[in-house]
Amino acid sequence: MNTTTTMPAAYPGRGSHAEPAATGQLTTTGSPLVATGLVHRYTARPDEAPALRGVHLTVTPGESLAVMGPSGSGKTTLLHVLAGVLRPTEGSVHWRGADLTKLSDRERSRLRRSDFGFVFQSGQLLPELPAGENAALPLMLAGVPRATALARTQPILDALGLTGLADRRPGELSGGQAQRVAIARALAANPGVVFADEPTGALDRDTGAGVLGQLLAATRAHGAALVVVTHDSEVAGLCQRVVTMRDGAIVHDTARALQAVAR
Amino acid sequence: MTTVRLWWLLRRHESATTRLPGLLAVTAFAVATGSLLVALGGVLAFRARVAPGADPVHDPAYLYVVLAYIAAGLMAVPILTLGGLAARLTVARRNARLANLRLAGATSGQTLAMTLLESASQALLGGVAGIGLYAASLPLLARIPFDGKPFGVAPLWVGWGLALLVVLGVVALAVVSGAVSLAAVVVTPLGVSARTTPAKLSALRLLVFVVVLIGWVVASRGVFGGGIAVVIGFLVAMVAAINVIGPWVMMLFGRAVAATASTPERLLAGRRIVDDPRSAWRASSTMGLTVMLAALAAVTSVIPDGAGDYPYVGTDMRMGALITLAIVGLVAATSAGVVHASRVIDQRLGYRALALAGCPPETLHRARLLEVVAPLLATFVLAGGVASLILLPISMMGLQVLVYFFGAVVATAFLSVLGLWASRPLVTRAMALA
Repeated sequence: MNTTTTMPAAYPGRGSHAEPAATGQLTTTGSPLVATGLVHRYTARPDEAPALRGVHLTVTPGESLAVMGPSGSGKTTLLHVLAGVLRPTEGSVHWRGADLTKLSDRERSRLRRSDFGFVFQSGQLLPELPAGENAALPLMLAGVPRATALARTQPILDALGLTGLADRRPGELSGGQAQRVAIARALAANPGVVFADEPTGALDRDTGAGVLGQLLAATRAHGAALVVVTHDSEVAGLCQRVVTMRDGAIVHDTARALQAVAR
Repeated sequence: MTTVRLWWLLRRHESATTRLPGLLAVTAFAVATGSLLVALGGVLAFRARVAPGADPVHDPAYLYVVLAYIAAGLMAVPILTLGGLAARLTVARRNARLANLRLAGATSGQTLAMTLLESASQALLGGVAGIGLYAASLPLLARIPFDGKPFGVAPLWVGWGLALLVVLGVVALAVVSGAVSLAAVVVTPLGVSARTTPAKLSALRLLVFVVVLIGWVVASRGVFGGGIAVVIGFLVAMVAAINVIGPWVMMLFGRAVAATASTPERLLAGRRIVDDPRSAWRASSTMGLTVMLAALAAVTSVIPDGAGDYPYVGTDMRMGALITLAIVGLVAATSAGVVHASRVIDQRLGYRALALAGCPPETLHRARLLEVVAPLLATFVLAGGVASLILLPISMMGLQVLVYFFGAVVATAFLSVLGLWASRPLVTRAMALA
């Protein structure tokens, strides 16, 4: 995989992200995102297999975690449950002292605004807003005055190599540039965790590698954990930890494997 | 598989989530057809009262025919616009599916045929429902006296042949509008129209408007001597001039809203108006026309009840203006609902992304309300300003003109917001995450 994309000076140390963590020992400041006994069914039909079957997962602060698995294995469902988008049928998700599964829709929305960031394959930018305002939108939604929000997101755009593009609309940006605006938007509110669902799925190989490198470096620079859902083993290889899902369950976790080897 | 079978297959498997826009489109076609038939029925009924070989200058019945033609003419533009909007809505909701079909190998001809089938079937369904609406309104309309006596149902009924012809006309309109709206999908299989910085609308539009306005001021000295037909002629010219300047004013207005926005709601509303000022104008232009018609209706409030050969003309003109205003108001509200539904469908991915990022639905609802209210205010200021200019000399004849006019303006604003509310479930659905 091509990992030679030029990184802005603001994100030194990207190279270390290119290698899986040697011991599974991750940053431990802040509180982890802890999911316990997750079961999720989309329908009440007994003959339909659950999308999640007893998933336990802890995302430690600052770590980058790839969730892999075949289509229909429950990756995106897991991501949505961890992010408070979906309320699981059973189980709990604890974040900063709160159980997301017990919060109301409104409280979960507020939490997603303040504590989480999102990057998707495509389509998350509002086409009528220029890049700068797209990136600043989460801050404005959180009540930050417009001028302040724009001023706070400009350095993030600069660090992602988007200097001078703040006034361009998504339709005037390349796919890679648009994804970097999405990354800036995800990081604008200083989230504790960034959730990314196939963030490079709509990009060519080289551009995708560059964007993912910047996503990893940017989340690390902001001290945020990163949870990436991907089909691509090369993308997963850039993350510190990889969990593999099949039929709604985690069947392999590199952190556990490394811990087992260490013992 | 033939194109028709493929279209039928897709229709059969249509999910509940895609039914509301279809229902809105059918409703819009029904309202357009029903309104058109009422207008046509009125013209025919008045024509039937003219005795063969009557003197057009002295026969009172002939004046009623002229007035009926004018009312029908004023209704025609918003009604035809509504038909076009309904066809756009059909295409908007099909865009993604058709683009996928193109990627799967469907030819542009097949895609075009399927869309036109969709538009035509909805227009046909709406047209048939429109005949029902028209028929249901006849007992009420038949009781309203004109020239001292009510028509009864029979003269107002256009006959099955003409009714079917109107339905066919609505279907043809839908097919043409659908074909035009589909151009982007047919051209690119990706179905994604790149959004670039919106083109600036020419300030020449302002010049056209000013010329018409000056024409009115200069000619107004002799206008009232020229009779009601001259007044109406100028009103029609004003309507045309307002449609020229409307999108340009929307663009400026949107820019001002966006530039001064301190909240995300105002920013989104302003940017969306700037993004497509023509669409913003479409959403409120019929309202603008309604405001102008309200001015016309207000003028009739100072016309004496009648005298001599025309004992009921004043009363009848007031009633005729009220019926015209009611029909255009209904068409305007339906148009607003259809335009807003189309915009939600176009922007559903962005809405979903905002919901995932924790944007509360209330914020988007407020942004959409602003997106409607801001252009409406601009429209009311523009159309209301022009109407006030026209009404000013007439209002000296009676304060009820202004009371009548502003009452109608408030009712029009209410209808527009009602149209917005009709598309609210679509936003909720677009933002639904589970």
